[in-house]
Amino acid sequence: MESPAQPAEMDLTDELLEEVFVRLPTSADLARASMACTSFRRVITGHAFLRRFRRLHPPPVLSILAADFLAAQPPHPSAAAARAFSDPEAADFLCSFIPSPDRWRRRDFCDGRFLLSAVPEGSDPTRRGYDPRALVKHLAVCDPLYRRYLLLPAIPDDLAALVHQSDIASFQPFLCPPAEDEEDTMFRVICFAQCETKLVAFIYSRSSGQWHPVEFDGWRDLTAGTSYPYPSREPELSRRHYAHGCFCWVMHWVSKLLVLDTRSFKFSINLPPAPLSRRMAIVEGVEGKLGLFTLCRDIENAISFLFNGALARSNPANATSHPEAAEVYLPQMTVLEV
Amino acid sequence: MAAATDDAGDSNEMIRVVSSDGEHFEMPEAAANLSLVLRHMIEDDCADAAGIPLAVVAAKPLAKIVDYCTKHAAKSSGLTIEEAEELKRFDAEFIEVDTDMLYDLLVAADFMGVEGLSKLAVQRTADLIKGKTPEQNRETFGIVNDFTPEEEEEICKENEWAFQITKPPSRLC
Repeated sequence: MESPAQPAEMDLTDELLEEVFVRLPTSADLARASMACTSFRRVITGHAFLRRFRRLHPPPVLSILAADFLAAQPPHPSAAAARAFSDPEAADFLCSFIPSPDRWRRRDFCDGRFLLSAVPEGSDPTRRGYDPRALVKHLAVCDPLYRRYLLLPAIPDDLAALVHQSDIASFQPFLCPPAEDEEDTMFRVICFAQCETKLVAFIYSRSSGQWHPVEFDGWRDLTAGTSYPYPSREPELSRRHYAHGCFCWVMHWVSKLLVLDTRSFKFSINLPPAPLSRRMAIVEGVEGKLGLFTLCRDIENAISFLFNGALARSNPANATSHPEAAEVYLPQMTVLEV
Repeated sequence: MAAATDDAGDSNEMIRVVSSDGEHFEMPEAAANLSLVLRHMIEDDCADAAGIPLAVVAAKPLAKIVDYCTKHAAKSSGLTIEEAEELKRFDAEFIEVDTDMLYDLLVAADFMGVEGLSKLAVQRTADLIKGKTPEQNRETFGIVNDFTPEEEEEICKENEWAFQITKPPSRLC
């Protein structure tokens, strides 16, 4: 039985084709495969399949955007792609493609997208920066590589009325990655309004196209007795950390963590496994746990060490014992900036 | 559970199977148990001297599948590192087949529920697709380009990046 000259046609079931395609190593391979015939293309462009593929093959890191575009360097696999963006023609990180670019301020960058907030009407657009206490209702999300932008619907007045501008100590808009079962184009935006007696997050989900508010009930108890407002800097939240779908802030004045779980959009309070310091990082631990690294210094013995601990996602607010923690001694002269 | 009795029984009974084109094959029960379909038939006492008929599996791929299962069943548990390496080499050689056989194995392993072989065939197919242009993929797998010229122009534009290795697709639109 000789095999025929013409190979048999690949009329596999969609399920088998998916099993094959999901094993392709890069999205470029997947894109080229989708161009072979209509049945390949239909399977590959299916939303459920693409979600599965992207979970296994997260988009590569091209660069770190700090003050400038810090492109991936060889031998990083994205170096070639990243080099293409070093060309100023290739991407527009100033987002000058958005109408009236001088009326927008860059607030956050995440997963290849910028979040911009509008300069309030009537203020001077030539002034650089933004007021970190100003409630901004108009936001836009930009893709600097493709020079595309989306204007988000304004935060509705009835939601905005939950907080009063005069009470706001900090208003932070930031991008939130899509939920696990969502397309990666389905980003979310959170506006975090911290007031003396209230903590409110306004959440925009691209898949619903709507804003909804989440209020943290325990805030008043946590801030009771603190001297408010600035300049005492109490109660001031730390910078924002993100791990395993949770945003975390350190509340130094009570030595606790505030956690916003982006699956449920519920706030909780978490007890850290180690003393908190200003030099710390919240990282993704095993089994979906949040990990905490804290850099400690023992001045007398001239040693530095890391506290390395895991925290449950939502400890009850009244928990008293510290979860497991370990100390890792660092060699002298180690400089660790977190 | 049936699975628990497999090892304890350690029967040397041979299971007969019949291909769609009427050829008979034999393999140890432990080998047949690697196929979900055959295992269920054996559990239901459908394995007799006449052999289990496999209506959609032709003799050529079935011979390969019997080989695969026999090899893997003989070395199922408690593998030493050397044995595991040897099994890996066996797999690599085993799947070095032309696309006709690969296609038959993909379909047959899926139909018979031979998980290890399914994975092997699927991975081999993916390895053949990767790094190729659409035209090379059509040639390899005997695929007919059934896009209209308009569709083709559109998807070429859309997927230009996949040839230039410049940028991934937009995550905004």
